[in-house]
Amino acid sequence: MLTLNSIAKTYQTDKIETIALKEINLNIKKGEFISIMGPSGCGKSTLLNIMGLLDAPSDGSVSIDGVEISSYQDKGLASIRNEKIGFIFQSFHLIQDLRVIDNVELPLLYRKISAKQRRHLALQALEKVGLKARVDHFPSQLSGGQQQRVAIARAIVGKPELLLADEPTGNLDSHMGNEIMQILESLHKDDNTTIVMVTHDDELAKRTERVVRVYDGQLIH
Amino acid sequence: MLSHIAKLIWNRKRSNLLIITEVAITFGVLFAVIYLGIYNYKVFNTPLGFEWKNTWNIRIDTGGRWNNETDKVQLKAIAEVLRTRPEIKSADVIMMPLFVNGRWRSVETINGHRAPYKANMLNHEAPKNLGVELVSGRWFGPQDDGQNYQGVMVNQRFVDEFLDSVEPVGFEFSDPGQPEAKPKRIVGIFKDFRQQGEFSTPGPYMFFRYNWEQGDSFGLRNIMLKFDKPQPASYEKDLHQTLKQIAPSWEFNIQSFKNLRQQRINEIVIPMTVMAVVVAFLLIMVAMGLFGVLWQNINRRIQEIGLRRAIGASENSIRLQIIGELIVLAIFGMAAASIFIIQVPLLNLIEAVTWGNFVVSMLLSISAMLLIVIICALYPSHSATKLSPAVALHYE
Ligand SMILES: Nc1ncnc2c1ncn2[C@@H]1O[C@H](COP(=O)(O)OP(=O)(O)O)[C@@H](O)[C@H]1O
Ligand SMILES: [Mg+2]
Repeated sequence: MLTLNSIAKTYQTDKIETIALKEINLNIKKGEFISIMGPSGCGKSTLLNIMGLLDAPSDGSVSIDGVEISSYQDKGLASIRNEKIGFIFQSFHLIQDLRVIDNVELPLLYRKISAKQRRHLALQALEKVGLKARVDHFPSQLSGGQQQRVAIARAIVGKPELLLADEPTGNLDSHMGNEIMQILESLHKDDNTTIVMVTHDDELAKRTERVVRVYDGQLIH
Repeated sequence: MLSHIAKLIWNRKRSNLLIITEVAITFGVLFAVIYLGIYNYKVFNTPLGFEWKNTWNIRIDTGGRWNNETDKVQLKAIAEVLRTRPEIKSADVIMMPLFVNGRWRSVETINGHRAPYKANMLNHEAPKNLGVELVSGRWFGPQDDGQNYQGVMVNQRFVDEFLDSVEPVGFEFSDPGQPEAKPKRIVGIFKDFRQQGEFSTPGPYMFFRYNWEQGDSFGLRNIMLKFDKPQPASYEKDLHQTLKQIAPSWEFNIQSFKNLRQQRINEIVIPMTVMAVVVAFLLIMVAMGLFGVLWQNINRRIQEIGLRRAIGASENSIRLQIIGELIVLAIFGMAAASIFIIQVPLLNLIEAVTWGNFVVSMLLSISAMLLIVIICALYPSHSATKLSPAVALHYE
């Protein structure tokens, strides 16, 4: 469902040019659960951001469902991000001034959906991550693991086909990390969601179907 | 989306209070500037009610107090001699001269109103000669002598403010403070007479008639000469000689109304320009403060903007949301400022403030304020959405 075709990414900051990725070819099939591993700074996040259309590659092409995304303008990209992709970040990125339920509803605000339907879907997503009792809390009133579960609920509320998780357990202890992993596994099994997860944890990586290793901006096979 | 914006604003009320306050201050300054601008523009363009072109003023200094018995005779003699000169169309006398700061103010109770007005005394031909327009009734004149009333004339504003419920022509009133004086009777109504020039506040005005035979205990020290065509500056010397021949002990100061008017305008425009510059700086400072606060507000939210785009917001919807939020805050700020501003006309704190000008200034200030907010928000929100979502998410 997602194909990366000789992707390269260089960051240009003032005088320094950082090559974050070079010649990446990767094909992700529908329903796969993939983990990406590699040392810090090797380009994992950059890779995930390009897959999630959060950043444009310097070279190469990204196709989703056979359509090259460079053919889309901002509006088209926004609706692909909104409908096909869910993102989970290491640092949760919840909006602190919104209650749990409003954070989860957020992606649906950018769709034509009634307020009632939004609430219904958000409650459903929160139920999946086991947080139905916390809908009216603010993020600051929750533990890290709970916050990440809210973020997962937000990522899945729009029923995306592809879930991208950038070190989703990186800020959590192993117990909470395991909980998050179990949620991802059940999303994969029950809903056939395609998942790409960046992780440092070998144990977690082993539980996925395929491990992709990145070293110095390149894939190693 | 609207309820989402409402929630965000409410949940961020603390930081939003700063924006609201900043808007309220800017709005207050803006309103004052716009109000003064409109007021002065309107006042300046209100007709004076008289003609000043080709007219000169002779200011008399008798060298001491007015001695009515002798001075009234001398004054009449001068006027009569001047009237015989071919280039002079008319020579009239007036107590408070045109385009100078001096004025005669009076307050009476008229028709149940507390009636403050400004007044002047001039000979009965003077208004006509100055081009004052008669609205109704008749000019006062010798037919008012020896009657059991004192004939006066008032302007239309006087009628509008104090005589709304009665027939103004023929209306009589007397001053309880002077029980032995004859009652005043309004014999005619003239359009206007803005003696102090274009910047003076238009208001009720009354003419008293100067009677050449009786004179006046305070004395009239101004002669107005109307010419058929502009006179050269050298004419002043010639005129001065003539005057000195008739009244050697008097001093005369001769000036054209053209000059007097310009002096009067300068007296007001120069300090007003200085003030306008000061206010412009103030406004720029306040607007920059607002810009800073808005910039900071948007900068603090770059991560949030990155997140929104990551989950599917387009650049346009982000910009619309930010501008929408700020417009709501601006409305709160303007409403807060308006609570104070509206006290001015409500409590009649400043006499010159009228509802008409108030509403126009309000509408203009609101439009200008919204424009300022949108412009101040446009640039930072544009640059924030130009970052890729990945960069915005890690923005510190
Ligand atoms: N926005 C950026 N500007 C400049 N350099 C960047 C930026 N993002 C990442 N990099 C650089 O690109 C390389 C890969 O970064 P990243 O993808 O975050 O690595 P990882 O996620 O594997 O730790 C690093 O050297 C990093 O410093
Ligand atoms: Mg990373």
